[in-house]
Amino acid sequence: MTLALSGHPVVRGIAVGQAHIIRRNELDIGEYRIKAGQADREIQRLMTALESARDYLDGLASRIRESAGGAAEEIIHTHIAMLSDDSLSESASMHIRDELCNAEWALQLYLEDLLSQLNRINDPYIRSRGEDAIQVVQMVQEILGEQQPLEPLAGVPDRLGKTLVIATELTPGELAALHERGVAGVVTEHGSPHSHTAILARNLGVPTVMGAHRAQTLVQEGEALVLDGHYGIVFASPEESIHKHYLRKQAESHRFIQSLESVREQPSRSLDEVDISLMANAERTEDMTLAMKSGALGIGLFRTEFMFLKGRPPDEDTQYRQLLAALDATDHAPMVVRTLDLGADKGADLLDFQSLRSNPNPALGLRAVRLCLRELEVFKTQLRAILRASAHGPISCLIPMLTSASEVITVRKLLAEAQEELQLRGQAFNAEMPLGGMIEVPAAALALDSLAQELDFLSIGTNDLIQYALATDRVDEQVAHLYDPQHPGVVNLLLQIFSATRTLSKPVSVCGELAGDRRFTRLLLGLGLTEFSMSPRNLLQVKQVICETDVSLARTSLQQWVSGAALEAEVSLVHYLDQGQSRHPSRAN
Amino acid sequence: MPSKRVTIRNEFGLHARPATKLVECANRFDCEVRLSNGRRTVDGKSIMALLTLAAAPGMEVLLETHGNDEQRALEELESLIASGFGDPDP
Repeated sequence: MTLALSGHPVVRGIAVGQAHIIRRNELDIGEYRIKAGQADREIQRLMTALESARDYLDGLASRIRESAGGAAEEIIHTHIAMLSDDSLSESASMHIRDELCNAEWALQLYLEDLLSQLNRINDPYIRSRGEDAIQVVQMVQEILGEQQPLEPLAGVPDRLGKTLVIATELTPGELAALHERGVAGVVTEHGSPHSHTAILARNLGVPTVMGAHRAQTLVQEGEALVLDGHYGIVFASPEESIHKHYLRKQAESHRFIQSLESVREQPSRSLDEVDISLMANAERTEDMTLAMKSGALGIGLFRTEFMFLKGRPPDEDTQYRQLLAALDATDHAPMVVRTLDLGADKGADLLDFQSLRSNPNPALGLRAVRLCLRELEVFKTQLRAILRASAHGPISCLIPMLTSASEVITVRKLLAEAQEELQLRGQAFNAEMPLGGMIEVPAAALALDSLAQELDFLSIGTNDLIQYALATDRVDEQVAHLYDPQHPGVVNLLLQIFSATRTLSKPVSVCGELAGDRRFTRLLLGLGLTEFSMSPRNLLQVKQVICETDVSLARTSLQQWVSGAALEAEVSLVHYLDQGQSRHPSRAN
Repeated sequence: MPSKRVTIRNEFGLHARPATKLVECANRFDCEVRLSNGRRTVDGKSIMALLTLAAAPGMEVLLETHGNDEQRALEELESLIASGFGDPDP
């Protein structure tokens, strides 16, 4: 009979195989007295154990660098730094000498003291590092207990293909060692999705479920298991149908990944030879690298919010340097820098602006460009930094959440002032830096002729546009079902935007989540979109759909749908668009 | 004794990864390294101590070095912190 266990979904993916249970003897930290003359020998015993723990982690760190990259290695380095910390060896030695206790107990005293200090800190992130300290100290205590060099995972087979490990808890080091042995999946009884072990599991791509209570008791050694990391479910002795279902899903996802690889080198061009520009939304170096590897032409949305940290806004030079670093990360590919897009509803805790104090209705209140036009000094500092960076690469500037043409005029005026200031200082900038606006407010979308006059390009922020058009906050579970990008009103709004931009001959891109969701790629192509900007993780998936789409057919299907000619179709718009493709006579194979 | 005020720029403050980098850098020098948040002063070569400093983003800390290579240590540590620990995107 199938037994289903649930826990936190930590790493997506499916694992099918047999259970191997890692049983650990409950670490029993005894306290015993030593004679005064034995203190030095006890300290020596401690030092040897610390040394052997360090050796082990050093070796692991260098092996892990190759299999999992820098981020994973850094986690192990934190544990090494903790082991090498003089405060650990000194305070444990002091306990041994002063209280004449054994090394294990001295470490315990040190740990308890440290944890009480960490627990006083009002920062959940720092506080959770106590978990790392516990793991490091326990590792040394285990070595002391065994009185032999460290053999973590003793009794675990060397090859773990098709094996899912069940443990009460795992340290990052243990997880890395399991990964080296080819473990198929991991289930733990404890541990949080924010732990270093979870971060490492994501880096390594090991399907993982954490917090599956009593998994060690409920599952038998060698029992057949299926793990669904997407939903955080583990099935033990699954029925034939479940087992087969997951084997099929696993094979499908394997094929899907392979098929994505096959489009990596292909140009982003539709079946009827329309070239589509793919850009990435990215600000982290690793995302930029991933974007360039996946064929992005540049960064279509560089968010600047991360620069605005707690306390006060960053100075001009700091922002300028961060923008230059971003340019470097993409080898000076085109980059659209969006000015500060924060407000009372998002990231208000990062800012300390007087103007943000009272907000009866934050989503409709002072946010994005509205806030910038209130905090003029902050805004102009950012404009100067962006202008200066534009001297070094193809940078354009994007203003979020425009509502009226007067805002555009004010921004233009401030931009001109910023240019004058830089000129006076003798600092270089690109006087022709393109200025774009984000279309997120429905009324702005319906009045583009006046709003877009002074803008060089437009970018549609579908998340907010749809939220405002439908008066639906999709984060609110009670109304989330109303959030529907296929709502006829939303589709009409998008049609109007694209028709207006064609009349005005302004370039337009979509940088909202819709652009990265392959289910909607054909809808956007049918609307006439030729520039997508999305999370680099979705790039290949969307490119694959583009390569399999005839844009003119998508347009025809969309027109049929809108004119009501498709009313009898009884399918959703996106399905109708998909079906429309198969009617094409020259469709590739 | 040379000292310098520096602002923590990382998104989550002086958490595990940056603290590890800071400790690794500090330990390359002979001199003493101390960080202070105005209320407490801790050893810049001890990761445990740095974590208990709980330096949050935007917080200013006083960096002090004392010993042989104090000047060079101060410069390197300062630029490490100012660069957001080698990561343009904290």
